[in-house]
Amino acid sequence: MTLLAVLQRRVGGPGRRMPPVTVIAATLILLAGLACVVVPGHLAPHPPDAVAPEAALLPPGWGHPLGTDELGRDLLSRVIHGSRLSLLVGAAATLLALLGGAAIGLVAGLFGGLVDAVLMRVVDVMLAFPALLLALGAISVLGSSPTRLAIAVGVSNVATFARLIRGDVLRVRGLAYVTAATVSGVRPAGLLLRYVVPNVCGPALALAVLGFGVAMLESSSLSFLGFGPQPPVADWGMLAAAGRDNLADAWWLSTFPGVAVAVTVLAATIIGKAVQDRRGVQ
Amino acid sequence: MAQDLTDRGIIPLRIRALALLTATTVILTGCTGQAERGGGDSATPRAGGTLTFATDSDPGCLDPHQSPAAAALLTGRGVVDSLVAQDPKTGDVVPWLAESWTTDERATTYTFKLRGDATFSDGSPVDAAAVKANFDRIVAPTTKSLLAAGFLAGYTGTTVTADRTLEVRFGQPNAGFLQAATTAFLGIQSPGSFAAGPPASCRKIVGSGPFTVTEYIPQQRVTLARRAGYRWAPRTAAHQGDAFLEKVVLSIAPDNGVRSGSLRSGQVEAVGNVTPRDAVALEKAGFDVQRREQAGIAYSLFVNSAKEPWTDARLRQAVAKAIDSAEVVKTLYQDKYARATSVLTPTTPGYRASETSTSVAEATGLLDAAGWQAGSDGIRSKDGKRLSLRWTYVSPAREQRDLLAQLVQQQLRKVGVEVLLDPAPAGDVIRRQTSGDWQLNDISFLRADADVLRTVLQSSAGGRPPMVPDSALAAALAEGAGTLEPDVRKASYARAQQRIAEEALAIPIYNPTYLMGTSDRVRAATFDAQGLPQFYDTWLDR
Repeated sequence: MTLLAVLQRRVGGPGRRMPPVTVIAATLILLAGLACVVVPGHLAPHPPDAVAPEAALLPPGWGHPLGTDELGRDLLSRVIHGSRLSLLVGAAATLLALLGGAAIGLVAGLFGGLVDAVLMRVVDVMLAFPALLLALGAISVLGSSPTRLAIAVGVSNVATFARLIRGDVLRVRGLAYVTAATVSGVRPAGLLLRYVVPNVCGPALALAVLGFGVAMLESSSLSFLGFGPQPPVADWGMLAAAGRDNLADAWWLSTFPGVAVAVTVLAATIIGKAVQDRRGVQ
Repeated sequence: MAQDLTDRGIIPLRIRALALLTATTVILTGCTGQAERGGGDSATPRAGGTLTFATDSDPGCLDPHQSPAAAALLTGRGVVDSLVAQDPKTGDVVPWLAESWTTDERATTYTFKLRGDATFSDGSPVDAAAVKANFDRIVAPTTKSLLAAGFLAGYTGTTVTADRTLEVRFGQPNAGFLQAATTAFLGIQSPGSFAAGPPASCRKIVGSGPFTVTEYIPQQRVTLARRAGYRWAPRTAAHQGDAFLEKVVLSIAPDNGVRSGSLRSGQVEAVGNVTPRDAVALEKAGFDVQRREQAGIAYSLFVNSAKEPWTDARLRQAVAKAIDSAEVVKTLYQDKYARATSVLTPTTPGYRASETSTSVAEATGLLDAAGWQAGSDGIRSKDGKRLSLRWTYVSPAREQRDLLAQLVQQQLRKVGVEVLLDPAPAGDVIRRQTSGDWQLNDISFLRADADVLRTVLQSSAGGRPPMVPDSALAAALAEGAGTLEPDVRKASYARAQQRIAEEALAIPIYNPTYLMGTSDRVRAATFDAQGLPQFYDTWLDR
């Protein structure tokens, strides 16, 4: 069972609505993340790769709010610049999972029968593996780079989207007005675009927001394991990994990039839940 | 192949596979250099006790005949004795199991006379037949020796001429054999233990040393117990007779933090391969940290002088001048590793200081003179080509070499040279080096002989282009390799190092150094000539 599937069940299930304050805070966090992605150079106090050996391993303080690393590079600046890779990889992976999942789900749901059975068994097999393991396998074959990272993570989450979308397609197909449209001679393509897709979009988008958080978490984990971008560029996962050796005397190195991942994933999850609440989907 | 050597081991054989391919006479021996403890040895040694030593890597296979891993040396040294020993202070080769030996002029025949009283821990005698069985076994293809067989390059056989005398013969000169014979790689094991086959030796070796293997749990620990009745220590040892320690437990803890933490908490008495940063912290906390510079090629960068535009010596010189190795050792190694002052480390026989001074201004001048002009992004270019170097280095890196690469990248950026970092698995890095398809490269190599420059930098084994193609250098190195005359060798290796520095054929950065942390109870924890900790003389204070 993938993490995304678990999250979807937990978060998507009946429960309290998110308080508006939480949703606003989460939105602000994601907007801040977006700002970091778009204009990191304007937000970061220093260039991310400017070494300053005399300022190595400084703890958080006025000059360096999050401290510095072994080469005296400003950690805040590195986290801000790292957001670009972390968030973009997360977004790209989610988009990939959504598109791939939609293709499989729509085909399976619309055609049904043998096609549906075969596709869903494949999806079942994929769901049986933890997504991280799938992604790890994929990236081991592909080799490491941000693009391949996004592909690996995206592929590993296709199954969850496929399953959700197929379910919705089946639900929509059974609705009376779709049957009416079929009877009145609307062709399959038209049926798909005019009646099915709009009805499936909502839940899929809500899942996509959740999926973004999960994809970021997975891509950060893979980066942490060394499958990320090439140095000196570093995403959050790599930054956290780089600080491991100095955990005892420089706690900030791993902590802040880790917090950045956690906060962003949490924000994405909260918004995903809020979207589901609004749309009344479960 | 043995990962330990490059990635986790003590021996910095960055290009180990190449080495195995090409090294006909790779000799892993330490030599001169101080390895004494600061003080506290004046008290009378006390016998007894268990020393727990936390080391970073599992030997994988305990048998040094098979394994090239430094971890196998660490465990093997206490268990097997060698024909001869090497003095860690002077580098001299002294008697051990062999009480005397002679060599012919061409270094093709070595005659050894063994001492009469040595026995293996299984009771059998250390005689000429046993030595022959060892060398024959090392070169046998079924042993799959990854390093030891290389020391016996050209081996044609051993003749037992009497119960205690033997002749080792080589089809080609093998001047490095005697030094190699001091290492545990060519240590003498009990032939009785060979019957069970090489895999069995990986789990337990039987030798004539002061300790025996009592337990080996992979990824956890190797336990050595003192052997009673040991009477044939070499004179390089501080004492004769049985070892002081009753037991030595080599506990395997790959994580650096865990190792230094277990020393601090008193779980272990000594730790190996301490990182420089941990060394500083341990010293602050009142622990002893001993360092030993290793012999061989210093950790150096190489610009491929066969590739345009780097055929121009001015460009390489500029790179050498722009790289501030003092800043590197200070920032990354807290000055626990010394800045390299030649392509060879100071503990290597034949070392001669040949430094390039760091100067950004001179580097800039050289690049300007060569006609490379800075573009809008600060990177120089000429005729539309950017001045850039692609650096493929081994990842995961050890000794913070990944951070070093990032620091050097920034240093070179200041003078307008672009470095593209390309971390890759060891196999990919070696493939690139072998095919000659590289621009910037980094290695260090452990071997206590200046001939390492020839075997590593000039090797064209397997048809690959030599790493440093330079005819003047080749001439100097060939001269050094073609003679056993010490003065001639010294002069030719001095010329070689000077040539390398002048032409910036290598850019030495730091001298690889073994750091060992010990608690205040541990006495006489010293390094053998390999630069690895040895436990025969070690004892525990109350």
